[in-house]
Amino acid sequence: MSAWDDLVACAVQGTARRVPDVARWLPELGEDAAVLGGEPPERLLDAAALLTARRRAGRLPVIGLVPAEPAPAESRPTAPEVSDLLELLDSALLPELLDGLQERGLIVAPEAITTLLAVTSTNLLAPALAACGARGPWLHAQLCEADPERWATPTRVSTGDDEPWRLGDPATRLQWLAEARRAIPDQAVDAAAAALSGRHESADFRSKVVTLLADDPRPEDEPLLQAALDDRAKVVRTAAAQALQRGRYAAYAGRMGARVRDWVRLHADSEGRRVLVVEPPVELDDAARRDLGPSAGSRSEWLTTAVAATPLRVWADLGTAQEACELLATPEWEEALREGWARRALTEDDAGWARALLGTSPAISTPARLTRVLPMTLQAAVAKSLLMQLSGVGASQAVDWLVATAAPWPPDLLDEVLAALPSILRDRSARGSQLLHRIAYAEHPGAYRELERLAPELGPAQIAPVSRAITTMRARLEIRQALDASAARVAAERADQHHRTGVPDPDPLDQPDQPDQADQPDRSDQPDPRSPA
Amino acid sequence: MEPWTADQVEALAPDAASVTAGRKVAGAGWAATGQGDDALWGLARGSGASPYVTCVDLHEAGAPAYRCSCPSRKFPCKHALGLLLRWARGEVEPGEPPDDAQDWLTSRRGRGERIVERVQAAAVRAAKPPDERAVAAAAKRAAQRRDHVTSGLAELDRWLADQVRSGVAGLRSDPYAAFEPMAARLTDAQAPGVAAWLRGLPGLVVGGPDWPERLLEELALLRLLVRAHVRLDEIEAAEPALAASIRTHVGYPVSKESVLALPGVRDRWAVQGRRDSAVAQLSQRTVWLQGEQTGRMATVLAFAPPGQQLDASLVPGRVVAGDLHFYPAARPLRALVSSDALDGGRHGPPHAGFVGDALAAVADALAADPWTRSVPAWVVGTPVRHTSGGRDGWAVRDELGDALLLRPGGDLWGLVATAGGRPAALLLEWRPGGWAPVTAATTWQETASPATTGAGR
Repeated sequence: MSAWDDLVACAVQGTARRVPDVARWLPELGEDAAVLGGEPPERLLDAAALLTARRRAGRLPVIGLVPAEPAPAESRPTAPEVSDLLELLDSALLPELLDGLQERGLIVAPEAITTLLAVTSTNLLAPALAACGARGPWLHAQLCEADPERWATPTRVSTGDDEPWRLGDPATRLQWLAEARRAIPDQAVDAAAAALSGRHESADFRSKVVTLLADDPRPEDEPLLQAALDDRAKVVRTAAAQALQRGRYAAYAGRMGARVRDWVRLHADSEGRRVLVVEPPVELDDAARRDLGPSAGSRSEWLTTAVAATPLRVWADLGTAQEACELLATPEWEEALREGWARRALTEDDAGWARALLGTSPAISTPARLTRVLPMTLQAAVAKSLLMQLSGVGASQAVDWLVATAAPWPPDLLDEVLAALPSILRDRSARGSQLLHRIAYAEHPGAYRELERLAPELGPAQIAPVSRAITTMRARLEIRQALDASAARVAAERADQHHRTGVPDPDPLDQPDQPDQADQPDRSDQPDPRSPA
Repeated sequence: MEPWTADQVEALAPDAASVTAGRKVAGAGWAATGQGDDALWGLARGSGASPYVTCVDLHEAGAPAYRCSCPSRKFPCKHALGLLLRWARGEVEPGEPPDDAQDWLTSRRGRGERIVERVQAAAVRAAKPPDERAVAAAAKRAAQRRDHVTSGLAELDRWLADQVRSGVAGLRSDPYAAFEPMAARLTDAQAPGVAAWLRGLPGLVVGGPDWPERLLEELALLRLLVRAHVRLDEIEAAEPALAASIRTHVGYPVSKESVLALPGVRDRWAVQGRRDSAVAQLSQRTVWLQGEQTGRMATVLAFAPPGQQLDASLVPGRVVAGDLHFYPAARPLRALVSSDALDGGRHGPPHAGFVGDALAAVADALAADPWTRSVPAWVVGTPVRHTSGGRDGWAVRDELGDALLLRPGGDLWGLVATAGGRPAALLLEWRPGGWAPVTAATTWQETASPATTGAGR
């Protein structure tokens, strides 16, 4: 035991219990021992003070540490201009910042990396690390080592072995199945089939397997889904029917088409005009009940569901989509029929039908999502006509429409929406804040000035969402400006270097991973295998 | 009135978003601006119908005061920052302030002038030929304080002995209750330095497994300070600088005026790092500087009540050209910036040394003043992960293979990311608990070998 350890031990227990071994300290304390105090506690403290000064001042360097592999050499220029923005970044804007960096071939400055990672949620970790350049994955490996729980990215299921499928919890098994459908589709079909027919799988798990199949529809799944229509559990039968209705499965669509054409027939009326006679059955037969699933509901729902599951080409005898939509139909069922067509137009991504339905129906009653199928110019036209009709009554549907349209709007549509905004905001039923949210996050951020100009027209209750939107847009504008400033500086530096050396720069788009040799003193470093390709 | 630089102005901003907002406001959005009589004012177009009246009082150098009629709770608001930035660009013309602004300035200055009058009156009293009675009174006050401190420290000495007699293991059950009465007693005894020291110890006791030996170090040094104070007159005669350090550690007051009256150390002082912390209900800002010519390190401290602005006149990245006045100490480190120091542009790479140099600097500082609690040192090294004593962490390893272990916390990961596994100049701070990272020099180039710029060799 050293003198110091003895002192610590005595101090912890107290000199009343443990008397310090003075004689043993003397050689270590040397001539300084002469200044020690009289009583044991004082002697102990004085000796400890002498040793403390020596311990603190006499620290030797630690030796034998081996430096790890340094971060790989960096090829992309940094954007210190965005560093300041990171600390207070609205996390909803992080994707925009990361995309902007990537588009311009820039990375964040090394000293800002920890700030970036601090504002990054796990689901954005991969793109955020990519925005750190070669240093990102390098730093991430170190962070994982220090604190795996905080930093580990969700592990991808390896499809190499099916142990996760055989032994995992339900979530892991579904994750494996989803991966397997991409990597090893044949094996995945077998696994899904086994799960759906297995006696030991829970109904909940079977219905989740069905839903998983429907999320990424493939023709080879149809036999499995057809079989699931006869499942013993209602929840599985419902999921299977919905999956088949949403997808494009040949046999099912064929059965539905035949059934629907029996319910919806083309006739000539007394004046020789072509009309659609619509008459869903009063009661479903067994086959129809099986196909529509246990949650089919009322007669009009049967009709809508069956039409939505029927390929649009089945209606070819009615003429073009436009002509079909203009036909007179049995008034009682007209709306249910159109709703079914609209859903099918979405399933088949059919702009012709979408346009026809929007043009001829009382537009506002058709699902807003349908606008997505239209080409942008048409979306704008429809949206504008809606804005024209705004008179309080239809505002909420108009907002649904506008929110559903693809971003960004053409400039003239944006102008019209902004002009209509005060009246939309005044209408409390219109969900104007949704519209503002959409404008704030998806439209050109420069439009915040127009929002500012609206402020005098707004009441106190409407100011808050507008000023939130302005804040968001200004933050987005700042991000763009900082990114553009970085890109401009980098371009100027490249041009300058080019001017001075006369050596043409490699085109950054052609050779994105070529080290910029002039800036890299240590290009002999081996590229790190963890760096992104 | 000499305009500030944009960097100086931006350092006043409460956050990064305010800087960008201020820049934007600076460019446009003013109905009118003007300056005169050490003040700036402007009419800022806001979202409301009437403009905001923004006013900045620059009467007291280094501590501007702001007022703006906007509803922002940020302080200073973007309008004040924008106005200052506009001024920094030389775009504010002389003129007459609007009534609102003039009223505010007058009432502020009124207050300020009353303070100035009091200070001047005190100065006049001080400048009078020494009145024997006043001198005697001052001497009596000093002697009284000395007596208070002496009796407080004597009590501390007995308390320290009691702790060691009964065993420090007992302190762990309720360390705050154990230390606070003694700390309060020393506050009463006019020894605030020792009181603050004691108040820091409970945090150490509840800390890591090595707390007994770290606590023993502190208790032993407290006892050493008590013994040094007993012999203060003797030490004063032999080593006045050491006596000054002892006085500082005990907590005898040192007036700014007396420090500024001492000869200054002229250099181009690079402002290299900054750290804000909260100490006993005060915000404390520590700024590290290094003389570009001498390589000498200095710290400038600033204090403010919570929520109030800390002095922002020292901007990291810039040079202060002029004199620093060091507080008297065995190893002077804390300093004040002379009022006539100028902005000297951006600073270059720091003077940095090896790990051995940093350890030698600590040894020198402790040899001169065993109570030293902070030694800054620039080291050129590579951050390296290590596992020692079962705990893993980071170390800084120089090219000779010597390493320092770093304490966790601080912006350690920022240091690691900036260095990227390669040698970089790193500003570290030695404290009794170990080495902590302060900052990494981003301007440092690998071409500057520590052998040519090594400090302290």
